[in-house]
Amino acid sequence: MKTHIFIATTQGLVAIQNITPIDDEDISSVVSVNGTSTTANISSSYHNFVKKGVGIIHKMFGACSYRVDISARIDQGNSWQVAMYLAHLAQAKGILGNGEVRQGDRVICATGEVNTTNLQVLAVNEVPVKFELAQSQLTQWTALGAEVQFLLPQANQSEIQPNTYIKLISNLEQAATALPNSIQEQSTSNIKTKKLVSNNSRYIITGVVVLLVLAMFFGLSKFIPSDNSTQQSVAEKNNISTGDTNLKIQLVAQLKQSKTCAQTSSQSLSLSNKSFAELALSQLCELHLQTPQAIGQLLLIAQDAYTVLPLKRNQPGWQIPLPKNRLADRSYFLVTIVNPLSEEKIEKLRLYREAMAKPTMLTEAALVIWLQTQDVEFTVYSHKLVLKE
Amino acid sequence: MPDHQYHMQEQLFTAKTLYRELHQFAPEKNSTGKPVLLNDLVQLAEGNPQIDGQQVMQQINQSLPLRRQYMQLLQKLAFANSPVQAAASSVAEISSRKSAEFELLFKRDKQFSGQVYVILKIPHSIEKHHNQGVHVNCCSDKIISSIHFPPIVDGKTQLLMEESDQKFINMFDAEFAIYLS
Repeated sequence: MKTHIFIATTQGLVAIQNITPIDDEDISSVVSVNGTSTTANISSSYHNFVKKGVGIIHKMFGACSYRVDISARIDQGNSWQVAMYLAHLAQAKGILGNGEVRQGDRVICATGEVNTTNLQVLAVNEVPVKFELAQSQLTQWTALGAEVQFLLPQANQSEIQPNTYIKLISNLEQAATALPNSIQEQSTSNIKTKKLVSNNSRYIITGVVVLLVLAMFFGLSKFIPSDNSTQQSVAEKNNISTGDTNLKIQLVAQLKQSKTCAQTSSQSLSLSNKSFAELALSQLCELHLQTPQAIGQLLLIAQDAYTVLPLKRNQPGWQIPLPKNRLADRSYFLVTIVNPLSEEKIEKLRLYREAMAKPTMLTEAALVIWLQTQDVEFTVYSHKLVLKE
Repeated sequence: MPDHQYHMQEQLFTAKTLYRELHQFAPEKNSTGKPVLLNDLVQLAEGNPQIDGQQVMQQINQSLPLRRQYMQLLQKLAFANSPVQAAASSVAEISSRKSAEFELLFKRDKQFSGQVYVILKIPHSIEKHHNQGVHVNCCSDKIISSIHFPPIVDGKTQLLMEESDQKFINMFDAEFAIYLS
């Protein structure tokens, strides 16, 4: 299921088709039309919306520049900002659609300007016109079986009649609730599981009775271990698990053999006190963290930026994205987590990071304290990529 | 010879040349029938947005006298320039043009092959560049092309272009001189 984000304009709805991080300090963020080299006039405003210190996107999503493809030109105004923020959020969650709505998809149309200092959504002009132009498409998508919402600034409430599509928002936090919530979905699946359990309860009760009869027959002591032995076995299991984790964790680098990455050699970095040995960026082609299968999630948390990134597990291991065009060293934490944190909790971690005046204020101790409040089994490793050997 | 005398001689020579060419040739006319005047060339060379640059440029490229005049004006009025590059091989591709006043470079888009970001850095730009943008004139013996970059922000401006666009090719062709206005 994809989430399609549309910008409501006075010329109709404009789809946000794609967002690509450029992350090159030389290149400014750009808004292009339909993947062509034609750029929208809002490109320079979007660049400012991304730019650190002025905008919010770099601070929230990590890359210093992005390319956004939209379906039609937008020439002026700032009412695209709420939709653009939501598109970045959806992109970060991996659910951003390309504007081609299908059955079961979610559609969010939005208009609203963002106060980049306090993240409040500001009123915009021509709201009735924008909604009227969008209405036929909203009806079509609903008939198709998509879930459709139209987000408007709270300050524009008086300009439009309430209806099923409209959701009023006054800040970005409220806007973000329009996106699918992983916790809600999880709880829905829990309810389904509960129903399944209650349907099968008769079979379960029968099974338990049979087990009890067997226990009485063979002797309780053999079947039910004592409390002490249970605790011990759990502790042992934990110890073994932790021990295994430490033993099997390996940061493996693919290093250039020549000028390019066509031929590489593999090198495992030494680990001491949960810190991997420093590595020169110049020779680096790929970097993977190899962990035991029990590790369900790996988070990369930059120390010199506000980036919090859940990584993907591939065949060689968890792939660590390499910084491009760096002008300084990159220090970061790698957090291995047994039971994955939900998107919502990761978002909370991002907000926790962004509340710091400077990204460098995050220490390992502070990160450990925050993770301990999340009730997860985790280990924090640190690593540094350096510019020069 | 003192500097001011040399400059005066040069100005007199330029004025006489332009005067002679105005009398020797009938005024060039563009497709709308409006003749291209010296003022149009001056406005274009200075990068002023009031004139239809595309039409005037088309006319310039069809007339050798106009092209000469325009080149002379560019040499006089341009904010910065980068002369024809001396290259050991004419086949070699250049990826940047540098002078004391500016740097022009391109980077390929990783997602859309065939598209390039052309970045123009002017560390010490003038006020006009912040309001009206920058005109980049690419001049060879046979053709002149002009590209308008958006206003300078943080010392740089950029365009997204197709790699096959002739204007992009001219910018990074060693045999083209570049004039910024």
